[in-house]
Amino acid sequence: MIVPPDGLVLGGIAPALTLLVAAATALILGTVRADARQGGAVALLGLAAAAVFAVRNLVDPGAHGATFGVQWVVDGASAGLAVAILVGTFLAVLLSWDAPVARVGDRPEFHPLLLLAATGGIAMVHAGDFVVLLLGLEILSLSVYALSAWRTGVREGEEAGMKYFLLGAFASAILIYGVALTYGATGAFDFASIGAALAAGAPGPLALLGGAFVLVGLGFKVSFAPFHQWAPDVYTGAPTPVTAFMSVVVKVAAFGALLRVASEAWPATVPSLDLMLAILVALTLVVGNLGALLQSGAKRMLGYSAVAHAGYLGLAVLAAGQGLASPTTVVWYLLAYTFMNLGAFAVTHLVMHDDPQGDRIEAWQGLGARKPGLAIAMTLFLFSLAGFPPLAGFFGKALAVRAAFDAGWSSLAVLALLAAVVAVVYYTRFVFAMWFARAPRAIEVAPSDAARWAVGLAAAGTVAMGLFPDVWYALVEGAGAALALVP
Amino acid sequence: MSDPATWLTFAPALALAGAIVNGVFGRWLRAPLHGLLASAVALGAFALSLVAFVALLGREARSVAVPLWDYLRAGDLAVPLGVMIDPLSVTMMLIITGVGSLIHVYSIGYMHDDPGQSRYFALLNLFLAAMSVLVLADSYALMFVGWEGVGVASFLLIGFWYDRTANADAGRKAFIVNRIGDVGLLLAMFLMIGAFGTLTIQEVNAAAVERAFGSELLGLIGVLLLVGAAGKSAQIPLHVWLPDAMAGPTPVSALIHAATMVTAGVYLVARSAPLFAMTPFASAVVAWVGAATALVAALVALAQTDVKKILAWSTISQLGYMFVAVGAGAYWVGIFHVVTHAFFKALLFLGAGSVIHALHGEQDLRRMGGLRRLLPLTHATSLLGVLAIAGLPPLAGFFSKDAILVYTLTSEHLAGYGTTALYGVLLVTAALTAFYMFRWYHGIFGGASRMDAKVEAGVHESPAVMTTPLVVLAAFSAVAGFVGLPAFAFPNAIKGWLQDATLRGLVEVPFAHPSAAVEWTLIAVSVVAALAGLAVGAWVYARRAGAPVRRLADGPLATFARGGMGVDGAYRAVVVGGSEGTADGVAVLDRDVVDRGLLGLGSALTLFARLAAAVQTGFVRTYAFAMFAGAVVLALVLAWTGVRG
Amino acid sequence: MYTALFMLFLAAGFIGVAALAITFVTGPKKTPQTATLEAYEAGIPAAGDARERFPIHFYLVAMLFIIFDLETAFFYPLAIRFQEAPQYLFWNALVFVAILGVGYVYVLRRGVLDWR
Repeated sequence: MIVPPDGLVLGGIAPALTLLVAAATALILGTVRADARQGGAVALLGLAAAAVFAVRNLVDPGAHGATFGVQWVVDGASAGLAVAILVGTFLAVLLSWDAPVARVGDRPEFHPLLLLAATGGIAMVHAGDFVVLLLGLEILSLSVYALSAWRTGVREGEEAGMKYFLLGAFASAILIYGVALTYGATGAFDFASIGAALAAGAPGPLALLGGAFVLVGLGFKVSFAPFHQWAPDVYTGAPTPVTAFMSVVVKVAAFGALLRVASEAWPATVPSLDLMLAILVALTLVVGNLGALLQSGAKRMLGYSAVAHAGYLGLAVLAAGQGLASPTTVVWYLLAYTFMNLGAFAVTHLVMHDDPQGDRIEAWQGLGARKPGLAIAMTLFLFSLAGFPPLAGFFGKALAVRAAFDAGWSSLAVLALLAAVVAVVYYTRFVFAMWFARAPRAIEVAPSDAARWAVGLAAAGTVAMGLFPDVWYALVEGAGAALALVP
Repeated sequence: MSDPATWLTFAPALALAGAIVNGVFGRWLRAPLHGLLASAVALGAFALSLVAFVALLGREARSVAVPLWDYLRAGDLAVPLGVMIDPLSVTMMLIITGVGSLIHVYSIGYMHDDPGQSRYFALLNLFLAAMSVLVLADSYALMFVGWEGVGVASFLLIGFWYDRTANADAGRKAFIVNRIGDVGLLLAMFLMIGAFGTLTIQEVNAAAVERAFGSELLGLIGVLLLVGAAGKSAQIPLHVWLPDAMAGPTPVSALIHAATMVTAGVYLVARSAPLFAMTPFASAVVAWVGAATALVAALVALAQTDVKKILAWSTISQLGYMFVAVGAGAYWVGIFHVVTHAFFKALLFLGAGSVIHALHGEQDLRRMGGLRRLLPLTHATSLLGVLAIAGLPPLAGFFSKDAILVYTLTSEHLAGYGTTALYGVLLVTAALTAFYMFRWYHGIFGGASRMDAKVEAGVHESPAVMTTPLVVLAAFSAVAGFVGLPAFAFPNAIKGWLQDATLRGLVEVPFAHPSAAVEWTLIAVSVVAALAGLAVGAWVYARRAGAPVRRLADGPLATFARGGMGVDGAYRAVVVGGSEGTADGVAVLDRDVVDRGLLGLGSALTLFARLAAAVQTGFVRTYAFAMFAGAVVLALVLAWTGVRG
Repeated sequence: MYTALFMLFLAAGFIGVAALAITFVTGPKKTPQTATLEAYEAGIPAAGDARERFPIHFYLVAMLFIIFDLETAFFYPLAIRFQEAPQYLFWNALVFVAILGVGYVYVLRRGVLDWR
């Protein structure tokens, strides 16, 4: 079959194609004239155009179905997650507009790499089979490896890149091994056929081991414990705008893939796979939240916080994967997470202002008095991450806990609640530092209007998703987020 | 909106509008205008409450729901937001806006020369708006918004004179303690969403009574709600912020930290009455926390010398009474005491404010005395307030306090949880209350003057704008109790009014019904306790000029009590680690709360956290090994489940 | 049907053996020099300290070679089934080349191929 039966329908793949063209354009232009603004502008334009296509997919998913003969699934979940990836990338580009990472004149690859990473992420969330998933994963990962090592000559930066690359390669290898085992057991790459084959009879050890390895590989990318240890280190070592980018985009993409695999390829009749996921979720909730407790640097704290949130998301994925909760929960949470987490990193970026130690808690003291706008925004982000209503994070956590109860994982739900208590402590510490401590020194923040825009947009998103949660929910749900469940 | 009762929905918006006008345009207004505007807004809200009250009185179905906003619909989870206008919320609104209006008016006089008036009145109106949201909300989500709103307003008003360090520290303390309470409420909300799929209060209540009586889930939710309630209502062990909150302006103490906001915890329990009625365990925890608080706070109040601190501890103690009432299952009684307490405690605070105002800021009981003649009106109204809180019939405090005592003793809901002991604790507390309130009264107004001659010469009765609210509050403190006469022999108006609004006919709370003779005896016992307290107080302070307790007053016991029974000290020891680190809140929270552990039980948590950090070596090989080990564990899980089928 | 494959193996084996045999027969018989005996590894000296630094250009060029070599490899299946859908495959191939072309232009302009 050379020509797909539905001919050339580019609608579904259009967001990824647009980003690819934008990346190519930015890359070539960058070699002609070394100017960071130009790359950023191309990136913003490309992202906006891609967002138009992605929203079109979301509003009318049926008209732009699977294309190119590959398993490129367009439904509420994939289109919604694509929007989240585009939003995250857009904000990251704004954030890096004046940042030194993008300013290095002789390296115009920064924005093309961001765009390529987003392209890979979009491929991952649309993947209907393991081939597209792996393709997307590698496009995403290779770009992010390079980005995380962007600060050459800085020991932490190079260490972060190297660490992420080595461990990422390790994880990819395990993932591919798992895919191979699954293929060996079921003779299929696409999730629907795998799910049907597994549901047909009691799956053998080969298929289960394949599932376990796939879980490990994807678990690394979403930073489930015990595959999470790279996260705090790499988040700290990478340039803050890159950290902001990878903390949301990689997470959205990997969770999108995991959601798809868990709900389509792993039928609910195979409880072992769910049990494994549940164990990882429990461990992640504990390790992430306790790990964050002792951190005195904002980036590291947010690194562990990202691990903790992976636990809540995992809870929702677990329930959705069993067909006992709506996958929209996961999609909703991920967009909310994109806004609040990227926002928190954005403020951190401004406050650090080129000082590698500038994210320590002492640096936040007195921010409320000196820069009330930034401090209010950061308070919003941290309270939202902690799960205070009426901010976005509250409903994310509430939906995840609800999903866990619905799916009968009430012990995990209670664990998640206890973890939420710990979370309040480590987020509130920074809120405290900002508002209740006297500034030991004059606070200088990075002068960047674009980054301020990123903070503002992220704050608006955090508040809007908290106040009008059903807008986004209804949009995703209306697009048929209910993934095809294997009976 | 053709139903007049639903007009009350606009009360929060009205108050918010007042806050915005004063906050934004305040600088262009002349001095008395801020206060007049804010008072007009408060009176407007009070008028709306009255309309709703009258409208509800004349009908059978007294619960009006006003849906406002479909907040979220996610599958089977729906969170609509709206307003619930029923006898319970209207009663609270009447108190909040009624007493609130009086205090607004009083503030015009009290704050007349303060340059920050527009900010003050904006915050006062903001508080009214948030408190109205809290009370009117028909879902825990919306209630939480109000809950946080009153917290913010309270925090800003405590630290109103922010250039004084003590005030800023007090605000900070209130902030921390209230976050702990918030976490309880937050967890309760997550649990409700998880277990019931709703946050609408009445739906939660209806779902709760479907569950097994005394189920663990309900108990857990109940205890978590209590944590939230204890934080806001200053119950042990989260009471430490309230005495410090007295650093704010006195009218603020009267409104927020005596009459309204601190009763939010009682309201929360009463609102969730069917849920608590299904779980005697959580109810017992509520009652015992309340009883312990009542007694301890009364003991601490004995040793205080600051006129406002005495009242603050007395408030904590009285809130304890209310918690015992709602814990015992007598929800209407708890709210009844909220109402009467609002009148006489606001009266006492405003009286204290009038004294402080007259003495130009003096708050120490030891430098007052003999003000009876100099401040006649303040003296008369304050005396009435003292007698009311002491529980002397027929003043308001007597009826509500007596009802609490009777219902505690006869509660079958708490059978097996020591109702007699609870009764005993409350009775002792009642006597103590009468004693320390007499000390307060006599220290200010009785005996000879201990003031400087210079201060004494400047003393003058407060202007009418301040004394009128005193008189109004005194009148209500005298007669408000008659709505809740003992039900066994007299008509009782408030029981029928509130009973349906709390329990909603979903569930019955059983009480023993002793004979009329026993009831009369109980009344006699509580009157005797109050009289005994007053008599001993009079003998010690009026007759012997404090001589019998002088040795005691300088002893270690009094010092211990003066320091709040060492609770603050214990926190400092656990949290701050012996060092006087309060100056830097962040360092305290950072180094001590986190490192030394959260509230003392954190050492295990910290150990885990350190363990997690120890594994974080920074070496790729460690991380890769962890990944490998994780994969192996997963494979083992697989093998295990495979074997078990 | 596997005759062709069998013939291919046969031819491959013959060429391999023949090449060695011809060298052996026709080549000069001299004592081998040291360099001749060394293993050949992409132009990098195989002896000496393994931690020696050498130009990264080797790898860049080698990787580029592999990429563009694979490009050709991808075209073979395309060419064989081209007639089945000429329009579709033509554009398909063109897009593929265009993407690689972007990479080529980038590599060229960034001076990767300038041997400094």
